[in-house]
Parts: sequence; structure tokens; C-alpha cells
Amino acid sequence: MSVLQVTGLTVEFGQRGGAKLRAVEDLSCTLRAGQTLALVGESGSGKSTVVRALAQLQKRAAGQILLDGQPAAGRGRALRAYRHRVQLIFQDPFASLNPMHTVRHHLARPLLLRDGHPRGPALDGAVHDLLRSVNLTPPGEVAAKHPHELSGGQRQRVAIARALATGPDVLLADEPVSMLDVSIRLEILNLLDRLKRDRNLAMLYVTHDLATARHFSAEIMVMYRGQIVEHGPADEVILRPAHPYTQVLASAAPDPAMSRQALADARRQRQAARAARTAELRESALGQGCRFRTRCPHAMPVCQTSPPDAPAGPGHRALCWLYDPAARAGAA
Amino acid sequence: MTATNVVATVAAETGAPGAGRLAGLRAAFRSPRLLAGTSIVGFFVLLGIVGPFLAGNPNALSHTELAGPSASHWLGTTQIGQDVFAQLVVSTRASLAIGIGAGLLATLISIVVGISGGYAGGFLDEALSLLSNVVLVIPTLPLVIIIIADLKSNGLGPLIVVIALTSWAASARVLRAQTLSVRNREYVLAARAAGERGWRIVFVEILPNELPIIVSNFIFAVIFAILTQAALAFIGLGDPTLLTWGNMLNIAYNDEALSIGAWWWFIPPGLCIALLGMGLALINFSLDELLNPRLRVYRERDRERRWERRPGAAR
Amino acid sequence: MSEDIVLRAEHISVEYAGRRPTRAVRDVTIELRRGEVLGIAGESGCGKSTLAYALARMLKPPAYLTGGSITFFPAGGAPVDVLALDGEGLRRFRWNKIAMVFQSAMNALNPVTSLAQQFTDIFAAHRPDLDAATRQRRARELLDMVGIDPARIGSFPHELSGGMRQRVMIAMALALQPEVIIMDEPTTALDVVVQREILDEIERLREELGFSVIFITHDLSLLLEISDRLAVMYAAEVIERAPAELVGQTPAHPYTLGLLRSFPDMRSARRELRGIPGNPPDLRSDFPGCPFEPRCEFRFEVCPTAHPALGPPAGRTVAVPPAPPGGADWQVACHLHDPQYRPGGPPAGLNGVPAADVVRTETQVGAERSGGDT
Repeated sequence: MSVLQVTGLTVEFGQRGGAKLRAVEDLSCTLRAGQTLALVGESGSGKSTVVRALAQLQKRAAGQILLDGQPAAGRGRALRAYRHRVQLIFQDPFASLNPMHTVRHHLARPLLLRDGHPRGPALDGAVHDLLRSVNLTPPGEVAAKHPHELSGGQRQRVAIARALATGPDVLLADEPVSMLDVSIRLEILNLLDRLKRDRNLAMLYVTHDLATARHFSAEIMVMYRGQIVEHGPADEVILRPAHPYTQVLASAAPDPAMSRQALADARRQRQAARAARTAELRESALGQGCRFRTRCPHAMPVCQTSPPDAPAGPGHRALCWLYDPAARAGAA
Repeated sequence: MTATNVVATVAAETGAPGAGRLAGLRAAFRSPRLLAGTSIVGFFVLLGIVGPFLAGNPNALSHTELAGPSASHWLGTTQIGQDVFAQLVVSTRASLAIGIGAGLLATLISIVVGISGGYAGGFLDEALSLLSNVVLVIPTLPLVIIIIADLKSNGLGPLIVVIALTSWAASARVLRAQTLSVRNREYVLAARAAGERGWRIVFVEILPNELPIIVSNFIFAVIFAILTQAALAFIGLGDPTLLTWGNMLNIAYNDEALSIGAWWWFIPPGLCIALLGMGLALINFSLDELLNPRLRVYRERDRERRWERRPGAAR
Repeated sequence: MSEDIVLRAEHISVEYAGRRPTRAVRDVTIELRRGEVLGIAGESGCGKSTLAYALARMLKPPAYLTGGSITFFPAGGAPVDVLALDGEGLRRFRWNKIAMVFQSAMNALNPVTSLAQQFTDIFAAHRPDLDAATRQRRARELLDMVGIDPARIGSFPHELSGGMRQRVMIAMALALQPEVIIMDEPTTALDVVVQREILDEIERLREELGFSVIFITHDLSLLLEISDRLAVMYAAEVIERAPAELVGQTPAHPYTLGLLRSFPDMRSARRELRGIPGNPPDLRSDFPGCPFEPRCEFRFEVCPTAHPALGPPAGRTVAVPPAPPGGADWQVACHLHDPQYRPGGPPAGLNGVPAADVVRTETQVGAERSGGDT
């Protein structure tokens, strides 16, 4: 049962000099209740822009968002209702809480914004319930604290509690653990996973870490320079990456199983490949055609034109000429 | 991580309930700058409130004209035998009233113009920016002179309003710039994402974070207002019967106090203006230190005292 | 990698002064061998960056070195007492012998001067004998060496991408051909692909020029790949020191085990993932017992009361390389390895037998299956 359906999302930013920058181009996906969709990409790929666009904090140039089949409202009361149902968690636990206010304030405000929520002791009770649901105890003590009195992991838990306060159906998590200490990350991700299952939330997990994307989600979308270049089941995308960019990402991650010798060999191979392309080429801007072609080891002449969204396996799609039967036949 | 980051992380992980903020405040109040500044300003405020009841009649004439300081006239007398000390004390009240009144009003205007423009963006922002820039570019003192000279009434009220209306623009620009930055902070986005209304976001999320700069602007506005009025009075504009430090200086100058060498008449009011300005500036600087730990001057004395006991300590 | 030591720091302690001083580095001893990569792993607040600054003699108030010695053994020269250096000697030592690559290039590069100017500044300060033409040439050579087009010598830092800026940092560190380079989280702010490129570059340069590296990061999985030996820091102390190839499979300290578990292997089958519960301790306090004890799943009676000292790990079933003269190669600060407290040896997972959840397994624990509902 789909909760949030996105079709053809495009976000543009005006730049000095007139040319518009397409931060997100033609993105389509579906978030389902009780499931996590991971959006993987590096900084500058546009993934944070996607989150903001879905939360309606960023205007979109094109595309449609359907919440439970209804188009997402753009203004007024309907927009507020949308906001209550689609919540987000930011990357930086230090910036996402107002240093001037207590934890209680941060949680009470969204609770009060739900129409008809009572004030007084019932409000305090609700705040404490939220804190308990994210394992911040004793709730009375934590509620009285200011953000600077909490550790990074604790602040992120408060941010999660705040997101849950309006009773959402969709949770957009924008790199929720990348700024936390390593040993705390899995705790927080496990917490999000449990909350998602308990409350049957539809979750979008944005990250640059392939490992956690694989372990915590059912589906993965890979983003490169504003476009979704691969989309499929988590195991498929990680273990049998179709798009050359995904292959580069997967091979760049440390592999504890490789021996020293194998590591050294792999390194020499990469260096030889890189020496074959000049540094200039890697940084240049592109016009039409596949945005990855300057870094792609499989680039073909046809890559000068925009690649199609081609099937690469069951439920698995890649934006690449390699999977277009006609192009492969032509190149063969 | 740099040194400051480590300390900040450690402080954050302590989790001491509320003690952090209060302890910080208490420590900052030990700052000599803040103590000095508050003492000076406090002294003048007290003088302004209580002084006139105790100092005697500033307008009473006596037969000891242009006398130096004595037991009966602590700061001597004016050319027509008025007690300088009494005049000084009564002037304090008016000068402070003008300073604080105009300072408050100017700050209020700058908050409304700066923050609403910065938050709203678009056409409103453009219009308010244009307004600020125009007011900023016009030289303040000549403008004030022209307006005051033209005004029919001579009262304190119009004076305060005119000074305020000509001095809000610089603060407004600063606040707009800061609002532009704060409004993209993630806690503001989070408030928008939760469905908070615009005006609530401005008052509850944005304004409290700009308090340091607002207080700083206010202090500057007070100093500026007092100095502006002193300048106006010195060139003879405004109400001549109103007793302010500036008026005292004007009268002293006109009555040739300088050439006669009646230092007890023209030095005290000038000194008061300078001292009040200094006191306010000291408060301003120490507030900066209080609110921005990176500006805190590390006290060399304490460090040396502690480390000299350790053998072989190096850096 | 030889047995010969190029830098030895013994019993280093650093404090940050304040009303309650923070003891950021406590009695740390490390040795760097010529030509090796020594990794220092730990999370925020463990003291690793402070240690790096101390080794390079770049500590600034309120940080003060309150104990220890640092000795530098230059190739073909007499040992140098680094802490005794002052004035001219210190200037000649810094950057010439030991250089540093900082975490955030934008913090270390001057945003208002061009790269050419920044290189010139280095040469002017340390090699005044070089003339302007030679300086320019050297600067271009350095850029080329790290894979940047030398024509970009005139660019400003903000005109370069993050990866390029970090390469510039490395080039600047190499400018005077130091024997030791300390790298403090050099790739943390970069994308994984650029990170891989930078690491390859560092490895290549190391092979070519032969310098030794101290590599500091929280990314333990990265260190396992690139280091020869590594030291794990927790609460301002070194709690495990081991050969990198072995510690990944058979850690000795519970914290190291927890840290390893925090880096799930992308390619392994789904399993239950866990980190380490709790928070790092406040470095303003002293720890009578083990600082990791509150978060340790293996703690027992003696842990809160006795502070563990570094000693050899017990019960290793995997062969440990023979200890070089002057010190054991694998040390751990944990009572589980102390025969006095645990004659039976440490529990499973720390006793030299690879732990189940650090290696690939076939277990699936309530994970989502691809494409279906939970």
C-alpha cells in the first residue's frame, strides 16, 4: 500500500550567469508503509534537495507528489495537514535544535500543533511518552535540558522524537547518523528501524553509506548529479550493481575481506585507469548525454545522448546504455 | 578537532542539568570589564533617578558667580551663580531619558524592518532594504539638525522621535543579514516543517537567537542618541531651558567659560558624556565575550600560577 | 617497513586548562617506525587529535603538555629531543621534519590568497635560499605530484573541489620532504570515491618518497586497510595496540570489538547490527577503574575498581609476529587478559578466535527481504 508517490520530481536553482542548475531531475519513487527506501549518493548529488522538496520546504519546478493518492497541497490548512503527516530528520544534530529552547519546548510545540491537543498535564505526559519512545530516560530530567547539555546521539534522539510528535505516516531521514560517533550510529539506526516497524511508517533513508543502506532498507535508489542512475532491491543493487557509478561506489568502500596483496593489486589497477584520463576531464561540466560518461570505464559513443531507463534485472533498473538491447547490439 | 571543539564536545557530553549556563554566567560576571561597565552605568542611572531630589535647585541664582569648587558649591558656579553640581545631576536625568528613549525606539524600528524583511524575502525584503539604504546614506546629523530646526515644538518627545527615526538604519541592515542566515538554520526549517506559522517562527525561533546583536545595537543607539543631543544642544538647537549635559556645554561655551578657565563648568558635563559612553561600551564588549566563548581572553595570570608548579611543563 | 624507529613519544599527557581541567591525553606512548603507516583510531573526544597536535608541537593554549617526552630519529642524524626545541631549532623542525595534514582544508588554507602564494609562503619561511623562479617550479611540481593540473597554481581555495583542496593540503605537507607526516582525518569530509583516490595517492607517494605516516581517523575499517599497525584510543588513553592485519579479525579489547561491529560489511549477509550503548566519558573526571567499564558487555567485578595497564593479550590462538627488540607488538589494556584476574582467559570474541558477528555469516535476524513486506 503506497503512502507517498513521487513522479517526475525536478528542482531547479537559479545561478549567477543565468543558467539554471538542475539539482534534481525527473525523480520518481514510491514510499510504502512499514518499508524503508534508501537514497544513496554523495555530497552534491542532490539527495538533500530531494528531501526538502518532499517536505515542501523547497519549491519544485516539475513533478507530482501524491500522499495517499491525493496531490500534495501547496498552501494553507491543507499544507499544514501534509506537513503533519510527512516529517523529517536532519543530518546535523547540533543545528537542528534551537539552542535557546529546552527539549520540552521542542517536543511540546509540534504536539500542540496537532488540532485539539490538550495543554497542561496531558501535554507533559505526551512529551514524556515521546522521550521514552526514543529511549531518553528519565524523561522528566531530559525534558528540562537545553541542547548544549546533551550529547550528539541524545540530540538526534530528540530530533526523532520531535519528528514523531505530529503523528506522521512518512519519515524522511536526511543522513541521520553521518555526524554522530561511529559506535552510536547503529543504535540510532536500530531505533529508527524499530519505530518504523512499530508505527508502520514509510521511511526514506538518505545516506552516502552503502553498508547501512543495504542493511536497513528493502529498496535502494542511487543518485548521481541529480539523476537516479539505479533503482532496485537492496541486495541486488549492492551485490550486483548494474550502473557503472554504483560499481565505482561499491568498489571504493573498504573491504575487510581482501588480503593485503589483493588490495595493493586493486590499487595499482585503479591508478593505471586514472592515469589514462586527465584531471581536467574529471572536473568538466556536461551538456547533454549521460552525466557519468567522463568517469565511466565503459563509455561508448552513444553515451553522448541521454541514456534510457533500462531494465537490469527483476525490479532492477539502471539509467545506462549498457542495458539497452539496441545499443548493446549496435556496439557489439 | 581543534582545542575549542574538544572542550565544547566535552562540555556537551557532561549533561549537567542547567548548571552549564548559570556557571557560565557567573564566571562571566567576574569579568572586570563587565563589572566596571555596569558600575559606571548603574551609577549614572542612580544619579539620574535619585540625584535631583538631593542636589538642590539648579536654577537658583547666587551671588558667588564663576567661583571654583568649594564646600557650598561642590563643582563651583556658573556665570550667573548657579550651582554646577546641581545642574549636572539634573542633566543626568534628561540626558539618560533621551539616550534610552531614542535608543529603545531606534532599536525597535530596526528589529521590525530588519527581521521582517530578512524573513519574508521577496518584494517586502527589497522594499525595506531600499528604505534602510536610503536612510543610511543620508548623513544623520545634518538631517537631524534640519528637522529639529524646523520643528515648532521643543519638547523631549519630538526630539527622541527624530533622533530615533534617523538612526535605525544601520542596525536594521545588520539584523536583516543575520536573519537571512538564521532563517536557513535547520531548527527554523524544522519549525516550518512542523507547520508553525511565520510570525511565531520569527518571535519564538529567530528573535531569541538574535538577542546578542540586538542588545549590542541598543547600546550603540543609546550612546549615539546622547551624543547627537549633545551636539544639537551645543549648536543651540532644541529646548534651551532643558537641562542636559549638552546644554550645559553650550551655555558654558557661549559664556566664554573656556577662555576664562572655568574648568569646573565645562569639564564635568563632557566627562559625564565620555564616562557614560565608556561604561556602555565596556558592557557591550564584555557581553560579546559572554556570548561568544571564542572571544574570551584567556587569563594569562591564572595559567602561569597553576603551571609553574609542574616540573618540565612545556607547550 | 623496518624495525627502526623514526619517532617515539613516551608518557605524553596533555591537559586543557580551565576551572576543571580536561585531561585530553593520558600517559600515551607511541612509536612510529620508518616507512610505516601507524593508524590511530577512536571517536570524538578520545584525544587523538590533541595527541597529533602535541606530536607536531602545535598545541595552543588552553592546551598544555603536562608530561612526557618526544624523540625524533632523523635518517642519518642524531636523535632530537622535540620538546626541548625552541626558536630557530623549532622552526627548522616544524614542517621540515614533521608535517601535518589537517582535517578540514578550508580551515587550514588561507581563503584570500592563491595557492601559489601559499606555497611561496612555505618556501619563504623554511627555505629562504630558494629564489622566486625555483619556488614557483617546486610548487608546480608538487601539484603535479598529487594529481592536480599545475596550471591551477593561481587558483584560490574556494575555486577547487573538496577533493582537490585536500590534495593541495597533502602537497603542502610534502613541500619540504618531511620524514613524518601526521594526517588528522584527512578524508573524513570527502566522498567515498574521492577518499579512495586520495588514499591511493598517499600510498603511491609513500612508496615513492618513503615517509612515515601517522593516520588518525574514526573510520576503523579504513585503518584496517591502510595501516601496518594501529592504536585504538578511548578516554584519552591507548587501550589497544596491534598489527592491523590481525586486529580486524581478532580484537583483544571489548571497545575495539564494539568499534569493529559498528562498521557493517556491505557485502556480508544480513545480521543483527549493534553499536556500543552509552556515551563516551567526561575527560574532566578521573577513572579509578577502567574508563570503558560502564559500556562494556564483558565487565566483571574488578573492572570498576582497578585501572587496567597495557599488557600482552591472552589466549591468542593466532600466531603473533615475533616482538621486535624493545617492546611487545600487541598490547591491550583490559583485565580480561590479565591472568591474575581471569586465569581462564578472555571470553569468546576476544580470545583470538574470530567473532561470529565480525566475519561473514549466514544468519538472518528478522531483516527485511528484498522487495516484500515485513
